[in-house]
Amino acid sequence: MIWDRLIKWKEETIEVLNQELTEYNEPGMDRFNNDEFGWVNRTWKNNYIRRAHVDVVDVRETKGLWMAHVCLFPELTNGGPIYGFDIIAGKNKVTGAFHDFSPLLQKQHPLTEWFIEENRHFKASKERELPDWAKAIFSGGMIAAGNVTEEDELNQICTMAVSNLRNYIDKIRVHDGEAKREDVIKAQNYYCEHQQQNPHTPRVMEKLGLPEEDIKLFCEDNLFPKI
Amino acid sequence: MKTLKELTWEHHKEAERQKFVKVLMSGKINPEIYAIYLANQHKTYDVLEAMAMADGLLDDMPEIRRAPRIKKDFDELWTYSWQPVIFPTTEKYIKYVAETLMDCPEKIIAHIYVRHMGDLSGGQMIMKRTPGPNRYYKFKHKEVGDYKRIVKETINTYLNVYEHSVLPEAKFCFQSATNLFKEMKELHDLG
Repeated sequence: MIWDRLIKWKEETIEVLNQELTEYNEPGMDRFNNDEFGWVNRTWKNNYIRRAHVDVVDVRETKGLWMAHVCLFPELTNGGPIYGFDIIAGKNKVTGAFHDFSPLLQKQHPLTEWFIEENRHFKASKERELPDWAKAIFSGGMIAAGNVTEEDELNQICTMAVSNLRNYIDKIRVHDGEAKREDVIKAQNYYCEHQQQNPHTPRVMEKLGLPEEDIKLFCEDNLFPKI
Repeated sequence: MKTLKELTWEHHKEAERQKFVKVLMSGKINPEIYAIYLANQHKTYDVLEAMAMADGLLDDMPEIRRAPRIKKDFDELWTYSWQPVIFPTTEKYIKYVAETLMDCPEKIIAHIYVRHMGDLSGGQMIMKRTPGPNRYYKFKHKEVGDYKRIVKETINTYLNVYEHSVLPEAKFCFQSATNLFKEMKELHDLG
C-alpha cells in the first residue's frame, strides 16, 4: 500500500511538472541517472522557476526502501519561497516526510503564509523534531511527519504535496521581479548551505546502496547546488 | 567579415515569405487562430528565456522577456476549457532547446537574436494588426534601441565561435519559425 501510493504521487508530480514546465538536460546529471542503483534525477524549468528537481531512489527489491526528493527554486528576481518535499519509506511505513514553502527574503512572504494557512488542518500523527540547521531555513508551518503507517495519513500527505505543487507553480509567477538578483542569490545560497549541512542525506544515500564517490559529488553539486 | 544579418538573410526572407505572415499582417486573423499561434510561441519563449536567464544573458535587459506577456495575451483570447494544439515544430524546438542549450550562451544568443530582435523590429508592425492587447510586442520606447544594441554587442562577443555555433543556431531558429508558419497556415486554411 505504502509504495503503491508513493509511486502514484511520483507520477502525479511528474505529470504536473511536464504540464507546466519544460524538462531539460542539466550538465553533469547523467552520472546520477543509474538503472543499476534505481536512481533517477530529472530537472525542469520555466520563465519563473529556474530549477525543479526530482530525485527518486527506488531500491525496493534490493534494500526494501524508496526515497524521493523534490525541490523548486524560483528565478533570481523572485524573492518567493522554495518548494520542498522529501519522503523516505520502507515497505510498511514512511519513516520521514518533510514538506515546506521555505521563505527566503521575507519570513512572512505571502506564498509561505498561504502554505501555512492552507495546510493548517494537517496534524501529523507523529511529528519529527527538527535540528537547528533545519529550523534556520524552514517556515513555521513546515510539515515533518515520521512513522506514517496509516493509509489515510499518507494519502493526505501525498495529496497535499501535489496540490501545493500546482499552487506553487501557479502563484510563484506573481512575485516575479519583486526582488533584487543579488539578494535572491545570497538567500538561495544560504538555503543550500544549510541543506548541505544535513548529515542524514549522505547517510541515507549510503544506506540506499549508492556509490560513495557519487554521493559526495551529488550532495555538493546537484542536490542543493549553489549559484 | 559578414554580419549575422547578412549571413542569415535567405533564411530570414524565407520565413517572411510564408503565407501565414500575410495572414498575420492582414488585420483579419481569426482571434482563435491567433491564440493558437500565441500558445505555440509561449511554449517556445518560455524555455528559451529560462535557458537565457540561467546564463545571465538577460540580466542587462530584463524587460525583453516575452513569455509572461505572450501568456497574458493568450489567456485573454483563449476562451475554451481545452488546451490548444501544440505543433510538431514547437515540440521539436522545445526538445532541442531543453536538451542541448543549457550552459551554451553562444548558442542561446543566436535564438534571442532571431526571436527577440524580430519582436523589436517586425513585431512592431505586426502588433498593429493582430487581435487582443498585444503585450507580446510592446516595449518601452527606449528599450527598443537599447535591447537591439545589447543583443548585437553580445553576439559580437562570440565572433570566435560564429561559424560553428552562432550561425547554425540562428539558421535553425529561422527554419523552425518558417515551419511553424507553414503549420499555422494549414490550420488557418482548414477554416
